[in-house]
Amino acid sequence: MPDLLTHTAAAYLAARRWFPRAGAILFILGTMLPDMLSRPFHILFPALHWWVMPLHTPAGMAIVCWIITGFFRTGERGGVFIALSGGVLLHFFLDLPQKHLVAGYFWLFPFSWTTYEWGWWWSEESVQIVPLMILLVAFVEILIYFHKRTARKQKAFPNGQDRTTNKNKYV
Amino acid sequence: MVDPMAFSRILIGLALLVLLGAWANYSCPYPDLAEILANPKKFAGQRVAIFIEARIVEQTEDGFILMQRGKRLRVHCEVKEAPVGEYVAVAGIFDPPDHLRADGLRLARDRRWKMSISVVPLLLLIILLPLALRFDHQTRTFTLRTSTYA
Repeated sequence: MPDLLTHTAAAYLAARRWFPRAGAILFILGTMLPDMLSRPFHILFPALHWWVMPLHTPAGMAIVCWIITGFFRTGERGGVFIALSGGVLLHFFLDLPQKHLVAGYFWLFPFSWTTYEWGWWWSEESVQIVPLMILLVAFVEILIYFHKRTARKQKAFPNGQDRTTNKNKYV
Repeated sequence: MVDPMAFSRILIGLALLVLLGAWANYSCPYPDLAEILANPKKFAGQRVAIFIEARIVEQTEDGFILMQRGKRLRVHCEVKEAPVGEYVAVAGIFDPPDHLRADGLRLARDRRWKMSISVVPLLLLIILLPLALRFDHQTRTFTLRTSTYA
């Protein structure tokens, strides 16, 4: 897995358009779920490694998302499931390029122990791109800020006349 | 009033997760160090891998000693620098009673850093979730906040 910060930053960028609506926040939560539910257990209690491993597989996470929807109103469950599963899928997609010395991710569990990864980088190496991800998020935020400011100006002065220009004209 | 269907969904889901966990624990093809050391004859000369939360506890002349869940294994390898306390994954041929001739090794140097920074998003989540969700005490369910600014 990349670190959780990289996962979250990627999810935030993917869902930025809808942020901070509930769906976007649930999407971000979905991105965190596979690591959040499995890693603390097997780091603190290594004996539980294989017990919690299914929580980092598509089958296990589908069940987790299904359970979570049970805490919501009937009419909202479909949307919650889609937002959470979308986040989970993004998480797994970001895990795909990694490599491990042995094992890796068991995408087809419980039907197969076959692992599949693209093997581009080691799982710990993601921390080296954390500053880049933070800069990227900041860059996107700055772009959106300026885009919104320009849009507000254009809305207020559709003919391209700035208030300050007008003031100067009549002073 | 709790929706009985939702309650049974949660129970069934949890039961399925426990079954998956039990199946993974029973059928996993990767024996851990305790199992290997308990059956040295079975694993003698075989290629095994130790990769779950294993740490270097001592550097030796021809490698290092690693520890996994209290069990120690002497690893022979060509690594010159094996920092004590570092997380490590090794694969190689097992020599009873407690030796491994490593042919693959990975020191996870950034793992602690990775674990530390992973806490930050969890703290953000504590702030974000109340923006997205509201708990309805009457139905005892969560509902989504629908305002643009959540």
